[in-house]
Order: sequence, then C-alpha cells, then structure tokens
Amino acid sequence: MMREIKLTRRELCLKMGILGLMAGLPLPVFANNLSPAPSKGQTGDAPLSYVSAMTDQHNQHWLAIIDTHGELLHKLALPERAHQIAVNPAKPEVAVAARRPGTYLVIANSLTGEQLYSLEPVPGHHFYGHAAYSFDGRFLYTTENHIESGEGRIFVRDAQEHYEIQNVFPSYGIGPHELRVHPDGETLVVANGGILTHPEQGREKLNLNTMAPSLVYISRETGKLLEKQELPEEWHQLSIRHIDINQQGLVAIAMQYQGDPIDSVPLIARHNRGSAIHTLMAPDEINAGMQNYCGSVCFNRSGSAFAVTAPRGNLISLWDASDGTFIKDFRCRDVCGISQYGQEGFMFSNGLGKLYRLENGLAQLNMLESNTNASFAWDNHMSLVHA
Amino acid sequence: MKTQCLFSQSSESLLRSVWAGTLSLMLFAIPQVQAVTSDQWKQFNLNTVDHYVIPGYQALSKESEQLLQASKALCAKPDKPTEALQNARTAFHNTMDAWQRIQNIQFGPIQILMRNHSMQFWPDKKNHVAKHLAQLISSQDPQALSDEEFHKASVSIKGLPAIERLLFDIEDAKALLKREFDCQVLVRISAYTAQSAADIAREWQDMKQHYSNTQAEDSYFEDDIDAATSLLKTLVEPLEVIRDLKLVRPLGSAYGQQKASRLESWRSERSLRNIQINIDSLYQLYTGSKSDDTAEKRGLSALLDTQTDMAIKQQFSQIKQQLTAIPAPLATAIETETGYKSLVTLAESLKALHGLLENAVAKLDVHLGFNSRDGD
Repeated sequence: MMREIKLTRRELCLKMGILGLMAGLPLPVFANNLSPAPSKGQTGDAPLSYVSAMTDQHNQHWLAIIDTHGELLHKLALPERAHQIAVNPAKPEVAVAARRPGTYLVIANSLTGEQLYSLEPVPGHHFYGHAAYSFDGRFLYTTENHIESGEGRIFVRDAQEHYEIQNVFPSYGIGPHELRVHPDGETLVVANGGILTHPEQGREKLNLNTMAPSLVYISRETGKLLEKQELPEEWHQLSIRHIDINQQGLVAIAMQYQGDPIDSVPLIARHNRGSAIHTLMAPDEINAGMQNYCGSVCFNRSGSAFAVTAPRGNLISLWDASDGTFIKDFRCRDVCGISQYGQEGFMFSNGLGKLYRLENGLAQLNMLESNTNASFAWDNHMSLVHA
Repeated sequence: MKTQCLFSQSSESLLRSVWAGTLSLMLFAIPQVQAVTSDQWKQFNLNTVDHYVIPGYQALSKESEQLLQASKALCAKPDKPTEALQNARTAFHNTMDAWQRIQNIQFGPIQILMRNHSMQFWPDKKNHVAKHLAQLISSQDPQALSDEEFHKASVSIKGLPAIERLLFDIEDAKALLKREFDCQVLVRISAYTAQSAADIAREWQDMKQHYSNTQAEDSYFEDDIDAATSLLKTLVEPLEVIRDLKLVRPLGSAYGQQKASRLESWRSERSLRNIQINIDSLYQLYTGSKSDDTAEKRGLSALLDTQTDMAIKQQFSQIKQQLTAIPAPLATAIETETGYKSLVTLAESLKALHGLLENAVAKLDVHLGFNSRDGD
C-alpha cells in the first residue's frame, strides 16, 4: 500500500564516510590569481578568523571574533540582537547591522574587537541586518526599510569619512534582505524578500497575500536598476532572502516559503545574469525536511559548490554550482551560520554554540572540540575575515 | 512579542510557526547548570522511547485498525445501522484519544511522507478538508480510491478530520449509507490512517536503535544529550502549541471575537477532552510513569532538584483542576463570559508551565533551539 520507507537515509549522514555521492563534484580548483573573491567577504591570504553574532545565557548579544579552531579571540557587547557581519576586504574592520527592525550599525576592529563607531539609521528607517562592503573597502552598503512607504532602500556609507551617508537609492522591492557585491565590483545583487513589516507591529508580516519577492542587480555607482528577476506567480510567497555569489557571478539563493506548510515548493535557486531564476528541488524527503525554511547560503572558496542550512529541519544541503545538482545532506541540530573553510570546505555554526567543519572532499562533518561546552548560541550568520 | 502579551496581536501572528515553535525570550534564563551524566540521559531516553513513544504509537495503530474494521462494518449494509454508526463513532473517539496522547511527537517517522499533516490536518485555515473531500466525493470515481490514486490525494483528506466529517456531519447512519461512495471514502481514509499508524509504530523500533547507541558510526544523534533533546522538545514545545492553536486562536482578541469553529475536533465535541489527554500525556512524559505512585521514576522529574520538580508538578496539577472545572463541550463554554474567562486563565497557566519547563531543561544544559525557533 505505501512505499517502504528508509527512515534514516538522510539522517544517517552525520557520521558517515563518503557515500559515493561525490562523483558530480569538481575537484578542488586552486586559484593562482587571487582576484577579489566576493563570497562572504574574503580576499587575500592573511591569518583567518571568523565573525558572528551570538547570544549568551543571560540573553546578552555579542559580536564574537574566533579563530579557525573556534577559540574566542574577542567579543564586543551589542545593544540588541545582530544578524550578519559584513567584512571590509581592505582593512581589519567589520560592520554589524542590527537585526530587523534594527536601529544600530556598529563598526568594529576585527583584530581587537574594539568598537570604532556606533551609528543609527536616518530617522524613519531601520536596518534589515545585512550589509556589504565594496571590494576597495571604501563603501558600506546596507539594506534598510523606509518605514512610511515600506519601500526598500540601499544606503551607501563612506568608510573613509566616518561612515557618513554618501548616497541612498531604492532596492526596487519590499523587504530587502541580504546583499552582495558582484565580482565585476560595480554591481550590487540584492534579495528583496518581499515581506512588508512595520516596526510598530514588530516582526509581523503584513502582506503575505500580495508579496512579490525579487532578485535585483543595481549599479552601486548610480543606483540604477540593471536587472530584476521574479519567481513565477505561483511562488510569489517564496521569500528570496539569502544569497551568495561566486567568482563567476553565479548567485545561489536560499528561500523561505510563507504559504501553506503542506505545499511542496523549491527552497533553493541559482541565477546567472540575464536568465530566469533556476529553482532547485532537493529530493522529496529532504525538501520536506527543510520545513519551508532556509536560513543561510554560502559558496565554498573555489566556487564549485554551495551549502544551504535549514535550521528548522536541522539540516545542511550541498549543491553543485555548475549545474545545480543536489550533492548530499547532513543532519546538524539548529544549524544556520555558514562560512568557508579552505578551498572546498565549509564551516557551520549552530544555536548550541557549536562549530562544524566540512572538508576532505565534503565527506564528513566534524564538530570542533574546543567549543563543545559553549553555553551560548551562534546567531544566523557567520563570515570569514582575512585580517 | 508573543511571550509578552497574550492577546496583543491578531491570532494570525500567533500562529506564524505551528509545531516549529516560535521565539521564546527565556532561552537561557538560568545560567547555573546541573550535571546529568550521559548514562542518565541514555536511561531517560530509553525509558521514554520504551514506555511512552512506542506504546503510544502501538495504541494508535490498534485503535485505528479498529476504526477501519468499524468503518467497513458500517458500510457493509449492516442489519443495525444505528448501532454500526455508533460503533464507528466510538472507534473514532478511541483513535483520536490515542492520537492526542502522542500528538506532541513531531519528529522521526511521523515527519516522513507528511504523515504529521495527513494524520490530522489541523488547523485547516483555508478549508482544505471540505474542499478536497467534496471534490473526491463528487467525482464518484472508484479509481480515485485505488492505492496509487489515493496516494496522490491531498494530505488534508487522509486522516482524522476527514473521517470526523464523514461520521459526525450526518444525522444518522442511513444518510451515510444512502451515499455508498461516501462510505467507501470513509473506509479508504480509515485504511490509510491505520496503515500509517502501523508503519510509524514499526519504524520506531528502528528509531530506537539510535537511542541505544548514540556513538555508533551511523547514529542519528550526536550524543545522548542530543537524543534527549529530541524527546524533551516533545514535552516543552507542545505547551505553546496547545495554548496558541487550541485556545488562543479560537478565543480571538477579546470576548465577542471568539470562533468556536476554530476549536479542535468541535464536530465530535471533544475539544476539551483533547486538551485533557494532551496534559495527562505530557505529565506522564514528565514523570516517566503512568501514575504518581509508581516507585521507579525515570522521567525528567527525577533529574531535577526537588524545588523545581515540585513547582512543575504543582503547575500540572493546577492545569488539570482548571480543565476539570470547564464544562464540555468547549464550543458552548467559549460562548459564555465565564467560560471564556476560564479559557483565558487556562492559556495563562499553560504559558507558565511552559516557562517552568523551559527553565528546568536549561538548568540541565539542554538547549531546545535558537536558530530553529527565531530566524530571519
């Protein structure tokens, strides 16, 4: 009557060795020329560290700077919960935009953890928790909400002039969330999540029936809209929230579905300039296991694969960048933050204060021992810093 | 946010995240940690799986099989149709009783093939059950009931709410028997439910292996505390769900705004009974034994300090008393001012119990989730 179920097909992956699924994955590509690598803010070959927001057992929020073994190097107290940390590629500086509806922008030294600036949004605006620097480190771009109109804005601040606002332009959509700089160095790629919120109603979603998420490409110089992509109408409740981009300009997209929980919809997509968004379906059980919610997406350093976390489903999925093939998945409790490790690997963080490394042909997920007793939670996103 | 004020927002916002759980401001409320050894967690895990989870699914399997037999008997043109209908309704109640005892378990085999949705599609905000059931019935197509075709049907009509409609929306047995195809639909859904329950009960035997040895190469869990967390979630998180979905949503924003049709199982007039069973079951999970006087206690209760344990038991006891005082059916009680108030009080008590349990597990260094509960 019902087909036989292999209960532990994906669940078993956690401690398993190579599953023979790696055939589709390209071998490591060693980049000789270190052109600006736009993924999650990394360049050059300096000592590495990772930055992430965290919340401790007293509900105090922090910016944490850790080494590659997960040992805490510095921490800086934050007034409210943070979200993603943007890394300045040109100097040891990071930007912490408060989580939506956020009201602070903290700039810190990534070598010492010292606070350099604490800024507020222009009246009538709030942050969405995401920011990105230009490759030369001069400008910081933040996604913000113009509260009265509900329209998304991109603010441009000058890192050489105490982060004074230099420009502002539309995000060409509602609820802009993550943004990245395209490898051409001139184009911003912005995920307009499509969800309207108002600070007076907290994080309440006000337009689920009419939401229209989009992926847009904007000139960072002029603010002009260069390209706008939307999903087919039937998926208008699929919020395009988190993105990453590799050296070839391929955008990986992680989405959150606001429709009926029983609908089976793609939650991951990829996009190349000039074409339609290519949605990707994980195998049924895994797609359903994601519980309609992806939290973060990140390419590995070579750009050959990307990882997506689904914290509600406690799972990580890996995807081949070249054609969007599903590679494999791992169970990992409360996982959300992703960053790069080495050329091909990844680092993951979870709400139990644990860090995991995925390397050696992406076969095995290993927990870093140093942090096993951490009594705090890593927040949604993690970034790699080349000091 | 929702933990701050019970009725400050539209019920929609309270339901944003159903079984997934939502933000709790008490994630790490109590810093001091008590040591529970790996062996103690393992004992807790195995006891819970052996004496709570598996028997719970076995009971569901047994009762749903009875429901299938009763449905078949009803549709087989019985000599005493009224009695046959009564038998089927009783079998439905027994099945729903069994389901309510393990409704809190939302991981493992129940998650596969959308069984968590198919077993009980509820709340049904968009009226899927009525729409899809009407569609199926109007087709009058026996082929639609074949294994292959029915497998493709909407999950909303594969479980208990659809059966409830067929058995309780009718005046008497004759009404159902006159429409032969409706009766075949009833049998088909009952068969699906019984099969799912049997499969889940069987698959839990495999799942148990993962609790027996978390250090195995292919273990589902990282360690014994990870395994324990999966079970402790089924104790703590359902209290929010019961409060939000079974009480707050039907209550609406204020007296006068209540909607009885949002109550769970209102057609079979068992909304209150469901909550009573939920609480009794959670208490059993908490203590690790069916009754207080069982000598061997192997639940969370035994791992806590006496003061915390007493506070939690007292809160359980208060909730049970409150439940006893509310007159059934809830659909009637919710319309009266006194009844409404008592349900608001009950919702507050559930919230308090949730807080106590959340603090208690935090003391044992168990983290129920951070990114999974409140992301962006």
